[in-house]
Amino acid sequence: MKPHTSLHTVELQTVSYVSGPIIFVDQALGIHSGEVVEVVSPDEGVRRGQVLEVNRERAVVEIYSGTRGLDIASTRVRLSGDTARFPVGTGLLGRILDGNGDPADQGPPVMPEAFWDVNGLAINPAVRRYPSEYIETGVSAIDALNTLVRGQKLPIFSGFGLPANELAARITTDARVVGHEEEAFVVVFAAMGITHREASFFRRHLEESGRLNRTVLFLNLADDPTIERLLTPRLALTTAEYLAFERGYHVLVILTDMTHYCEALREVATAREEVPGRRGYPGYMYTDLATIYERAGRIHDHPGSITQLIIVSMPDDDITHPIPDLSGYITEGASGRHHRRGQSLRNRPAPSGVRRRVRAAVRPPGSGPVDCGGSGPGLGPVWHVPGR
Amino acid sequence: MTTVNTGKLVRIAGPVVVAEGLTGARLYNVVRVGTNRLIGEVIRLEGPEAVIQVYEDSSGLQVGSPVEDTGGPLTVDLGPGLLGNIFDGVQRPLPALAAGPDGREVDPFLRRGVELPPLNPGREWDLTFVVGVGELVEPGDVLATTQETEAIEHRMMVPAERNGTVTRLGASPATAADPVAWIDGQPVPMTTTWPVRTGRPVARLLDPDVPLITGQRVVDTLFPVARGGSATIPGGFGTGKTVHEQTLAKWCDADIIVYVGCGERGNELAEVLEEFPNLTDPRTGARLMERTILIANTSNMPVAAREASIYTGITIGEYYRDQGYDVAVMADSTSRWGEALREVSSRLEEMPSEEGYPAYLPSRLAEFYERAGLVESLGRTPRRGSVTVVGAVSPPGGDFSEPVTQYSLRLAGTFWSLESDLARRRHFPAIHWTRSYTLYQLDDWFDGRVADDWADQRHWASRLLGEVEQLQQIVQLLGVDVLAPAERITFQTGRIIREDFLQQSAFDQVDAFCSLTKQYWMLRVIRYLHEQLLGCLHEDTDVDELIGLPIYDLVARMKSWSGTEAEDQAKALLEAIDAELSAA
Ligand SMILES: Nc1ncnc2c1ncn2[C@@H]1O[C@H](COP(=O)(O)OP(=O)(O)O)[C@@H](O)[C@H]1O
Ligand SMILES: [Mg+2]
Repeated sequence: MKPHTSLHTVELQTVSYVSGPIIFVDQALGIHSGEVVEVVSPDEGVRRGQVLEVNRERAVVEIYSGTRGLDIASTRVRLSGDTARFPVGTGLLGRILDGNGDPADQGPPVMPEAFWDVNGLAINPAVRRYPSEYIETGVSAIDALNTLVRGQKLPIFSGFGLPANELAARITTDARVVGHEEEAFVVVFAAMGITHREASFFRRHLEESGRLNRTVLFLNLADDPTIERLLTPRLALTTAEYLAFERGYHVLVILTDMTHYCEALREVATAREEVPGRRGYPGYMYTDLATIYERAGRIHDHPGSITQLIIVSMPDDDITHPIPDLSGYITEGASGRHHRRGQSLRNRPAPSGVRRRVRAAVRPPGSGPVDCGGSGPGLGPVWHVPGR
Repeated sequence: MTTVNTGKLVRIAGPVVVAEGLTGARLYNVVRVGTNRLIGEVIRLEGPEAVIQVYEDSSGLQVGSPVEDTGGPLTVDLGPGLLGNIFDGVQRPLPALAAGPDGREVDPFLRRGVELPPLNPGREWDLTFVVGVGELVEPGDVLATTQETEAIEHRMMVPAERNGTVTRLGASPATAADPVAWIDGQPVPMTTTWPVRTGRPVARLLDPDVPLITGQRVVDTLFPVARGGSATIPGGFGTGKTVHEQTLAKWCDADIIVYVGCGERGNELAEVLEEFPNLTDPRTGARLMERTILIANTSNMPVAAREASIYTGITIGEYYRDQGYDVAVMADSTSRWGEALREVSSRLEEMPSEEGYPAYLPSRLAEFYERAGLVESLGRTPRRGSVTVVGAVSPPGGDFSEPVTQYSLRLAGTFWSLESDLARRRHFPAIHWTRSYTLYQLDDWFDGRVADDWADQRHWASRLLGEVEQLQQIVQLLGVDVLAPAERITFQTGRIIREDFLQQSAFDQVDAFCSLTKQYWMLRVIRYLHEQLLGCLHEDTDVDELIGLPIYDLVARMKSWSGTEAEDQAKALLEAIDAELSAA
C-alpha cells in the first residue's frame, strides 16, 4: 500500500504485526528513529506511539496506550517527523492531567507557551551547580536526618503495603523552601500505576490543602495502559525543566512509584524479545533510569532548580532487587554528602532509636516504618509516618 | 580528515546503527552519521554492512540517512591545555560547549552534532626549545616545553615514527595547530593526535616498586598500590567508591590526575569542579584543579561515548606518562563502562555470555587495566613515568560474584573490598581489613623511606586483625567473657586499630590526609600499648580495668595530630602509657 500524503502528514497503512505494546509498520522508509507517531485505530480513535527501531523492512513502534483494538488491515500510522514534545507552560500549575498529559480535571485546555522534547537534554556537567539549600519536606525524619537539598534526587525505598504514597502526598502539600523564595516553589507530581483510591486521596488532599494552584499533577492509574507509564515521568520532568530553567521556579518533582515504571519497561523489552538482564529487566534499565533521575539539578546562572523525591517500592522487600538497586546507584541517598560544606550532620551519631529501627526494617513486610533510602542498603534512617 | 567514502543507513536501533555502502571502511574507523554528522565508530563489518555505534543520541535518523567514513580511528588531541579541562567521552570540551563565542554561558544543555576542537585553538603558549636545528631526533625526544600550569611543564615530543633531523624550529608563542618544529622539512604540530584504543609505545616496562602515597591509612599501611600498578574498588551503592576515588584524586602523590566519571552522576563532577579549584596541592602549592583532567560522560549521556570515555582518559594519561610524569587514572565506574559494552552488544544481537555481558568483556577489561604501568619512555634520554589505574566497580546488589568484579580482581594488583556492612555502621573508608589485598611488594620502599620496622609493624597489624576476626566468631556465639585475658586484650587492640587507625573521615580537615610518618607513629603507639598490656598480665589481673584505662582516650585522639608534630606527640604518648601502666 502507498502512503497517503495529506498536507504535511504522511500516513501509512502497513501495520504487519500487533502484540502487547508493540506494532510493526512495514515499508516505513520515511520514518525517523525515536519519532512520535499517531496511530489511528479502526474505530478512528487516535493513540500515540514512539518508534523504537527502524530498518529497511519495518519500524518497531511502542504504543503508549496499548494495542487493544488495533488491526492489521485498517490501522493507520501518521508520522510526525518529530520526537515527542509536550506543550509546557505556567498554565499547567493547578492542573490535574492524566499519564498522557491530557487534562483530567474538566478544566479548559492548557495554553502552551512552548513545546519541549519529552526526553529532555542532558545537562552539561560543566555547568551544574552542586546541590545545596534546604527544602523542608515537613516530614521530620527526612528533615532532621537526611535533609533534602535543591538539585538532589532522594530515593525512598519502601516495602509493599507501606504508606509511601501517603507520605508522598504529605510532602506534596507540606514541603517548602527555606528563605524568601516561597512563591517560587512548586511541586510536580507524577504518579505511575496508583489506584483510584490513592488518586482520589491525592486530589482531595491537594484541594483541601490549598496548594493545588502550585502543583501540577500527572496521574497514571493502575488500570491505565502500562506503557503510558514510560511517558508520565518524562512529561513531569519536561514540565519541571520548563518551570525551573525557563521560569526560575524551584521545582520538587515527586515520582511514585518507579517500580511500576520499571515493570512497563520490562514489558516492552519482553515484547521485543530482547535478551533479558537480571530478573528479566532489560540490560539498559540503568541507562534508562538515569535519563530520568539525572534530570534533577541546578545550573550555574539559572535561578531555578529541580529536586526529585523518588519513591521505589521494593519487590519482596529486597533492596538488592534490580529496581531499588539501580535506583540506589543513580540517586543520591541520605548520606550527608550534600551537607559537607553546610551545617554538617555527617558526624552526628544516629539517635539510639534509629539504629534499632534500622534493624527493624529488615523485618517481614507489614505496616509501620518506611525505610528511607540511604545511600547504602538500609543505611538511611527509618521513620514512622505520623498518623493522619 | 578527508572523506573517504559514504554510505546509507539501513537500520537504526538506539545507539547502534547499520550502514551499507561503506566499502572501504575499516574496523574502528570514525564515521559521521546523518545530516547532523553525529560521531560514530565502526564496530563490526559484515559483508556489505558496517555496524556503527553512535556517540550521540540517534533519534531522528532515518533509513537512507547518509554516513561518511572519515578514514581514521577515534583519536584524542594531545597538547597543552588539557590540564584543568573537562571533556566528554569523545573529548569534546564541555565548558566550551556551554559557552557562547564571547565566553558568556549560553547553553546549559548538551545538543547533538556540535563540533568543537578539544583544545582551545586560540590560546597561545610560550615555547622553550630543547632541540636545535640540525639535531638528529627520534620518537619520544622532547622538542620544546611550555609551562602548562604553575607546576607542570608540558613537554612536546617527537611523535612515533618520526625519526629525522630538525630542519627548523617553530615560533613562540604558538597555538595548538602551529608547528613546534620541522623534522626533515615536515612540520610537527604542537597538538598531536593518538588513537584511543591503542596504547602509546614505550621503551620498556619496569616493575612497579614505588607506592602511590595516598594519605589514607588503610591504603598506605595495609593495602598500598604501586605507581604504575592498578587497583580495583568494588562496592554496592553508598559504600564509598566515589568518595574514595575523589579522596585519592585530591591527596595521592601523582603529578597528574585523570578522573573519568563514567556513567555516574553529574552532581559528582560538579562537586569536583567546585571543590578542586579551591584546594591546593600540598606538594606543589598549586591548585588541585591544575593537575586534574576530567572526563565526564554521565549516566544520562550517550552510552557509546561512555564506552569510549575510559580509553580517552587512559590515552591522555599515557601522554603525560610519556612526558615523564606519574599519572593516576581514576575510573568511576568501570561497571557502567561494562554495561555500555553489554548494551551495544545486545543491540548487535551477539550471543551473550555471563549475565548478558559479551564474551569479550574480560579481554576488553584487560586491555584497559594493562595500560597501567611504570615505564621508561621512548627517546634518547628516556624519562620514567607511570600510569596508575584505580577502577571502581558497582556490582549489582553488591554481590561480588558478578563478572565485572571477578574479571577486575584477576587483573588489578590491589583489591580494596568495600563492604556494605561497614558502610552501614559508618566505618569509613568501608574497606575491609582482611578481605582486601595487595600483590605489590613495597615493604622495602617503606622500610627504607619511613622507618625500618614499617613492614614488621604492618604485618603485625594484619595478623592481629586476622586473629580478631576469629575471636569475633567466638564472641558472637559465646560472649566476650569466654576469652582468655590475653585474647581480651587482642580483641580490644583490634577494635582500636579499626576505629582509631583504619577509620578515616574523608571530610575531616586534619584527618583527610595522613602522612606516612603519622601513620607509622599511630600504629606504633597502638602496638606498644598492646604489648605493654600483655606484659602486665598475671594471674589476678582485672582485664576489664586494663581495657578501660583512660589512656585509650588519648589514643583515640591521635587522628587529630598534625602531620609535623606526630612523632613528638607519639613519643609523649608512649611515655604516658608507661606512666599509666606502672600506676595501674
Ligand atoms: N572516607 C569516608 N569518610 C567519610 N564518609 C564517607 C567516606 N566514604 C564514604 N563516606 C560516606 O558514604 C557516602 C556514600 O559514598 P559514595 O562514595 O557516594 O558511595 P558510592 O560511590 O559507593 O555509591 C558518602 O556520601 C559519605 O557520607
Ligand atoms: Mg558513586
